[in-house]
Amino acid sequence: MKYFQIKYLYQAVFLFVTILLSTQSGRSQQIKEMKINGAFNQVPLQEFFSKLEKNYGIRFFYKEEWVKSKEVTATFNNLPLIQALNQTFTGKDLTFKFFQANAVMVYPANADLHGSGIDIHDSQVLVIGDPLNLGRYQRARLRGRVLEGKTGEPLAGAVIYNPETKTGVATDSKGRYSIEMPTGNIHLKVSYLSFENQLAKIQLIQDGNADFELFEETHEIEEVTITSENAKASKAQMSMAKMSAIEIKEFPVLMGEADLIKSIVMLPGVQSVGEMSSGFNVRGGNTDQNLVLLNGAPVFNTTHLFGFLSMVNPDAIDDVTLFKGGIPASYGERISSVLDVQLKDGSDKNLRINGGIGLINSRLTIEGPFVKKKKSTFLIGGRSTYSDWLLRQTKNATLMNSVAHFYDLNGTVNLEISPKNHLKMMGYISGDVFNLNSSSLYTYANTLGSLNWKLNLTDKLVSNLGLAYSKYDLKMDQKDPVLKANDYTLQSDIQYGSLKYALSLYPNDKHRISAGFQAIGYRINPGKITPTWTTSNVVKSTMRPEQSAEMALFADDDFNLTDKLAFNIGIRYSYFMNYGPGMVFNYAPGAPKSLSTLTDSTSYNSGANIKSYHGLEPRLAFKYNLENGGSFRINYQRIHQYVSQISNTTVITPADYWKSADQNLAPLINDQIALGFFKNPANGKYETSVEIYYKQLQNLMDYKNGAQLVMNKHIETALLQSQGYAYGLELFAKKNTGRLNGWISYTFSRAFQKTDGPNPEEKINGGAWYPSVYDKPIDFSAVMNYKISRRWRFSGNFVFSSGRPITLPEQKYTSGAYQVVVFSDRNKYRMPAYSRADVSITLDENLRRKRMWKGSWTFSVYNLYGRKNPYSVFYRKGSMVQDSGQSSYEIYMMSIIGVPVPSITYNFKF
Amino acid sequence: MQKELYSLVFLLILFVSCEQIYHPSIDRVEGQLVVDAQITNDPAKNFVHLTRTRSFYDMVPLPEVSGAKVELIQMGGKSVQAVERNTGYYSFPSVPVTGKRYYLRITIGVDIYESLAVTMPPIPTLASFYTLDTIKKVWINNGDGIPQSFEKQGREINVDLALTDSLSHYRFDVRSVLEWTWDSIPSVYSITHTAFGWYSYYENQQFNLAGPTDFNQVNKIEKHPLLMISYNAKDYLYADTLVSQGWILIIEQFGTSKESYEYHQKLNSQFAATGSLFDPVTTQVYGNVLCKNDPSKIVYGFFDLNSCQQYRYYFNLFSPTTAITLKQIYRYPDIPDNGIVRAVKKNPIVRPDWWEE
Repeated sequence: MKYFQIKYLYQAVFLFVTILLSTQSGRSQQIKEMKINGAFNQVPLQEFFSKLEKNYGIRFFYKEEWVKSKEVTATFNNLPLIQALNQTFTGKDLTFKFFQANAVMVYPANADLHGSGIDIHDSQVLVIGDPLNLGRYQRARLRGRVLEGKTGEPLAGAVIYNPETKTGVATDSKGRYSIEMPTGNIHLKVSYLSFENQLAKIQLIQDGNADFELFEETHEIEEVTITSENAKASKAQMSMAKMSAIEIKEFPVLMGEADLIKSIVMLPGVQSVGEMSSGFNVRGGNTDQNLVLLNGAPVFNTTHLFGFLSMVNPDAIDDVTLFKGGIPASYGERISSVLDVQLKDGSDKNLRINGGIGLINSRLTIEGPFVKKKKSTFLIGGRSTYSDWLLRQTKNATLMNSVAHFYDLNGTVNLEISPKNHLKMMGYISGDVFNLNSSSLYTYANTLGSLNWKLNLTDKLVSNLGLAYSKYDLKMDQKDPVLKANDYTLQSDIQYGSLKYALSLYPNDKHRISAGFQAIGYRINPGKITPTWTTSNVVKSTMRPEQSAEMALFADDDFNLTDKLAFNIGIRYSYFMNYGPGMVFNYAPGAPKSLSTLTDSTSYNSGANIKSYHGLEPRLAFKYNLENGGSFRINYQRIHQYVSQISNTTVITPADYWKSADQNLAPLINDQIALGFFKNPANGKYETSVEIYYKQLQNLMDYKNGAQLVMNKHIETALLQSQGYAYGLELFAKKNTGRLNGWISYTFSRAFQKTDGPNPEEKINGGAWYPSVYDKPIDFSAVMNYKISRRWRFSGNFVFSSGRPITLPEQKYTSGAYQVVVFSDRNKYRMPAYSRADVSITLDENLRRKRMWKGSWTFSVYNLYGRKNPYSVFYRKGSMVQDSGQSSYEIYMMSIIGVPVPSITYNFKF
Repeated sequence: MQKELYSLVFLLILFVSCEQIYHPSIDRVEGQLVVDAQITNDPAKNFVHLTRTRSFYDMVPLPEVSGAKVELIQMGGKSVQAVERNTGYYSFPSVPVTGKRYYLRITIGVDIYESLAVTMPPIPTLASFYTLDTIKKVWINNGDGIPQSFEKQGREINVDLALTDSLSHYRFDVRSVLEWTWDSIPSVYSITHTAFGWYSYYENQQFNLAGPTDFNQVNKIEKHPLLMISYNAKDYLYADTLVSQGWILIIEQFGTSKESYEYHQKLNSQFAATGSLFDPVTTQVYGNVLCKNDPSKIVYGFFDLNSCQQYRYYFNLFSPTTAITLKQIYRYPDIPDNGIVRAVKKNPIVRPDWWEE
């Protein structure tokens, strides 16, 4: 068999192989010991290689001209391969190296490949630059990518570390890195969680490129861990978590489906209200206070199937960054967190197809270069469900009588116009249909699009232009079970468009300055009623649309003042305007807003400023590196949020609509300060952190007793605004490498709010502070992954959290034949604690490169010990299910998943 | 193989949600006044019942409030004082006049409680009364506690109602009395006996409320459902030997106020929680009575001023393909909840006076 006969590919491949040579892996150890048998008498060397490839699965890499005149005469009888090759090459001007699990590189003993652009003075030195320029430059910048060797996927968060200068960088979401170093002979250590580290010897002459490929760690090797202690030394960032697609997929999963949000809630300070509630809550914040971005476009509903699954296809995710605090000045819009999800660009090597067949849905993703081995790529993927039949398998009449299905499609196009000029486009659509045992059929859809143009104007100046569009549509078809003429459709939607431009200047590795602006436009249709039939009793009705604009200027300066001190000083100025056409109702000053205190209204023409708000949003971060290798960090942020979701249910539901700030509704404002201590002991093998935070919240949304929210043209009469605060302690410890890795996190936090208007009906709990629905003081989670062998791995996680606050009936009385209850103060009681353990075992795909179709099986058990975790506690007369004619008045506790749920998933790629 | 795989998948699906009765620890709270005032144009149905709330787990008898001074005061008119006929139960000697506004005043010791004023609605009427063939899906737990759906075919009793400026909200109390007979030949005396029996069914899972439909433009309420009765009488009879003789439907129609309608809607939502996170946030149901001298004292219950009209119908049905019998009854004798009258067949006069066929 001949490899690399295409002349023009030779040099690139040789570079690839040479880089790999620097990794002395345990898998090579295994191949060395492979026993060889056979008698060879004047057999051409090429034929000898072919026989070994055929009989032992060993792959040889060589240049044909080096070996074509050489022969082998030897007899091997159970001889280890290394001895067999030593014997073969003795006396010849060839030598060899083992690399990877089954590969051998054969090359001249004194290779000189001058002219390739990359010289090899010995087999392990990578020369960057033209030797003629040797000594010409004092410093040079090395750029490139770190890729997953098996699949070619970029590795986000891989560390490239220079131990001599003690500087390092981490790769971005596309696996790209850029590091400036003194020229000369240097060593670079390349590492990534659960992957074999790589030590590269480089002769750096001038600016250049080098890609590294890392391979998953296996248990045979003696672990060598080299990671950067100060990989983010120039950043004072804290309260941030990154998660790669690989990590997300390693979680044990419910119904076999890896899930973004279910992974995110395993991080400290991130919780969800219930087992399958929509969205997530960060540091006591509401779901609508999270800005979830898909390649820069905001997502207004992040879940499918009432919270069962996240809206992003896990196969399409590249990496995920969650900012719980210390949110960079370039971000605003939401006060609790930013979840920045980056989708994959697509493979630039060849066409690939990934997919999975699960119990509730299946998915397929196709990716590849437009032209083979060119950098411009695409990815398109989709999912669809067959969950309706699943609902019918449940033992709950409500679910059995419900409908729920969804689809989503996503695509990205990444055009590399030049190495310094990238254009990226993303599109996403999704649709959900559900009916939760009622006569209302809900249909909702997300439509997202974004375009990002990144241009390196110079080596130190980067221009970034982003356009984003997002639309969320909700439709409710209401069927009157008795009279068709009463059927109607309720529709609402929100449209969002954004233009964001930023310039980033990198004077040196220790300094980054960014500045830019963002302009956002919102258009909200709060509600529209349309009769279903031509002949109808229903009156058409439309709520006035809301138009608003949000503009922001931002700048931040990230710099290392000294080796020990780093700062990030940022400022964002946001201006929000609610503009006409519109009409605002005016109420008697000082009186509670109600129809009885309505005095008059004011109409505004198109484009007229109805109400504007603005504010400065400082972002300050400070980091001090301690002598022991740890660092102390502190940050402060203020953010305004000008749109909120209107909902009077326990959690935000897909049926809720959005509302912008206006004359009667002030924007949410959050001030947060956080302090933390971070240390990565054992050269980054472990990662530990302690953070404490305090948040002050203004103008939280609350609702009057029994408020009517849908199609309420005087919605301000139903709303209350309250104050809140939250504080917490977050402990985190993570083992990054080794056969056993994972993390544990512990959070103690509290979240309170107070609704204390001047009038009695504007008070909740008499105007006293009370726990918010997201107040779950204790939250512990543990995640572990264990590589049993090269193909088998085991994952497990455990979560424990306090129950969420609830309102319970405290008193009862009789009204005629009915028993009525009086509820306690809001959120006075607490549900029982929640705990759950999940496990999974995965048989990964066959590692043979030649195999086209690669499949993996995952067997998982969700809720291993079958705990009936409380989902909700409620009071009800009688039973929904048992139609016995007898009524009972009881408090009920509902568990969604009260037994261990095994599942099996088959993932494939080819 | 494919079949086996499907079977395996089904076995693996143990996705279970379940609900169970929960007994959390709940604080004991001092009882607060409850005013359950139902004032109508029918003196027999007028009462003000004063009690206090009990802690949720209390099994003690209802704490009645005795010795209160209860007055029904006409705005700009005279007041009528109620008489305490039974402990905690007060009734008025006269009835309110349609179109006049009234409020309730209760004096208990030094505390004075007053309701908001309510206008006495006009006497309600039914625009039409009819039945429609209906199939409903009902869920009944099997022996393993797994809900199974069944289709129940029968006739739904519907009414049409007028919406006028003076009356646009209604409430119904519906009682259905199933008449049955039983014939037997006891072996001892060899005498044929006939039994006349009846049961009462109350539609009291929730308050039956009728009002203007959201976003609706018509000035009437159409096809408002009162109850559904299955064609299969065996669904209601406890023994195969009993024979259905039809139903007497007793319908109390109340003309009520928008405030009363909304108050009862809130009570309905309290009874109908499903445990979904989509359930509205739990809210307190406050009435329309306030403590004048101490506004911090919360009063529960409602002063309900309704006009009332009773309708009775005899209704019999057999199958979807046979004719039904539906006739209005203009007699209004009391009918006990249930009972049985046994007689020798030679002397059938023991049949109850109110019996309809």
